[in-house]
Amino acid sequence: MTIPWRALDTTAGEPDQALASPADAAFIGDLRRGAPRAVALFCDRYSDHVLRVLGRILGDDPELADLHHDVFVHALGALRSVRDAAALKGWITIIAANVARSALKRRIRRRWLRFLPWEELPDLPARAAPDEAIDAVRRTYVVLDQLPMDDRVAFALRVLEGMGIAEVADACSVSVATVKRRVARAERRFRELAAKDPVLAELIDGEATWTTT
Amino acid sequence: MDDHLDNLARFARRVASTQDRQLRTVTLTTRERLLAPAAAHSQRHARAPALVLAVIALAACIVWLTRPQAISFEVGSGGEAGRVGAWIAAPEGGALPLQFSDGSTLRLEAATRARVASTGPAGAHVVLERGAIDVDVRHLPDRAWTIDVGPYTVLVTGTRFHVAWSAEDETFRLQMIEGSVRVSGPRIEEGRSATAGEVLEARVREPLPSTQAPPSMASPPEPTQEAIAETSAPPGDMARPLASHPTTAATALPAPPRASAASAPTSPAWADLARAQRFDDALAAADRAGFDRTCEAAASADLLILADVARFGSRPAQAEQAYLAARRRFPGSADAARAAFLLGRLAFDQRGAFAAAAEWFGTYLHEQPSGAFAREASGRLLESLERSGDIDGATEAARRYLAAYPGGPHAERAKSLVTR
Repeated sequence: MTIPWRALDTTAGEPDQALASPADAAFIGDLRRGAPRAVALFCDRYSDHVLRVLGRILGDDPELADLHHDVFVHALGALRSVRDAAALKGWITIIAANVARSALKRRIRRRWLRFLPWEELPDLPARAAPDEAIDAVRRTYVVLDQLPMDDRVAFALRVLEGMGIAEVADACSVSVATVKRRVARAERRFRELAAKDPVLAELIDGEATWTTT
Repeated sequence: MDDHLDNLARFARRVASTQDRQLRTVTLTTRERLLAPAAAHSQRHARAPALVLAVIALAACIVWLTRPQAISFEVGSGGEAGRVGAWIAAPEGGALPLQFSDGSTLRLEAATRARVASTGPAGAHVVLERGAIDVDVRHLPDRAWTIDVGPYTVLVTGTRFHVAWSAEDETFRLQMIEGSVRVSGPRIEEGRSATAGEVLEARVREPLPSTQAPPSMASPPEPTQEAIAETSAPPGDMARPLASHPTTAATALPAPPRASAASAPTSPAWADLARAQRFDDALAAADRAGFDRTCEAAASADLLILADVARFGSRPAQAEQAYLAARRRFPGSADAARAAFLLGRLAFDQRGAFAAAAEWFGTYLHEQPSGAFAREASGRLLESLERSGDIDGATEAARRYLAAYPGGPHAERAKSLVTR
């Protein structure tokens, strides 16, 4: 359950001037000054998008909330590289994708330290829902864990999040042609691996219905 | 090819939609943290080395003082302190309780001899020389109890059961009431799990009764209400026949009346909580309403929800209870068939009881040969048969699988069986 955000205190030392909205060019200046209202607006506007980008790339991760915070901290610390408010969304998407990549790399490093075969998540995690859709999502990410990172990120942003090819290319800091190759390769590999999972195979190509409670 | 891409795109949309539901439950604090005063980040003073050493020393003392202590126990109703290693004999005419400091209780039946061989922070090692014990080990994290029963060993983590050993005819009997244990010993060297409702009997000189031969797909089992009933006989019934298999009943419960839609409660509180994905609350609500009573009153769809919530709440015994109730109360229904499939998964995934799993998957296929889970059940059936050691049955199941699902997810495994 999301903690309700407390009302912003607008009376403590705020500059006596109207603040720009995220759509205005002056908004960047407000953010660089650290104006609380601007920071709050920035957060409000892109919070859901950042969470979705992280979630699509990483899947279920106990650090999602912290990573979400990391994205905004990085963003607020790198505002000098942004000149156009219209570019804010694409720019924060790049940051979110990079934060997600770093988290994935840390996961891979932790795997090597376990000295045990990386086991598939138990079929019955303690807090998981009986919802078969959520089980299917879990299995999806088990498959995605087997893809190369670049292909996985491209697949997550293009196929799962539904971003345009140009957007994905920007987020991954590569050309459109490269993204197209990565997405095609990832789709092919995803299908091959998913075909070996009885539940996914059934859901992608079979007759099984996607049931939710 | 376009169909493939369309299928994948459709699947991806559903993944995203489901994931969005999950993401709404993430507790975000970014806004608050960004807008909080920066005092926490500003000054960090170097700690004096002496202060650091003092803190370390204090921490070491705390660790030493709070280190886990071995549990202790008292004997009898008078609370006499128990001695590790000493033999304890219950009187001929009555039972003798042993009360342990972790809340566990062992009740030695009349004329029983046993001893607490050792104790530790996580449990005790008890040796039953002769007679019977009612065991109630409190379910706490990392519990590790062992009960030696003649040549058999019962590993306990948080369970209620009744165990008995007869040295004269070298017979071991275990009746599970709650939880699960693992048993090893003569004829079952690799260990076998036993869960609530099961009765396990073994004689040293005789082989363990084998589980029923798995049904072929041509002649699937015909489960009766008696055969799929849970056993809940009171402890101490030494003449109880073996009931370690889901289709072999120790006691036939009277067939309950078929539940009607009118008698089933509409949208019970725990079901609403489950649908809202508040699963811990759902389980708690079901417990408050009485889990057993709920199993006897809920509608079939709600019963499967209850079972699934228990399954994912790490309560496989209760999940099994609810699935079995669905089958007993709604025989012949699609929900009953689905319960059979899920019982198979429970047996396969949770208990490693592959023979039992094969029975359940075969039951599902008999009841719903073209059902939504037919392909998965067929695949899991051949896998269960193989793992249970029935290679002939597995090979036959593999042939049928390949005929029906030549490109299915279990096709490779089936091919390897057929060409073996």
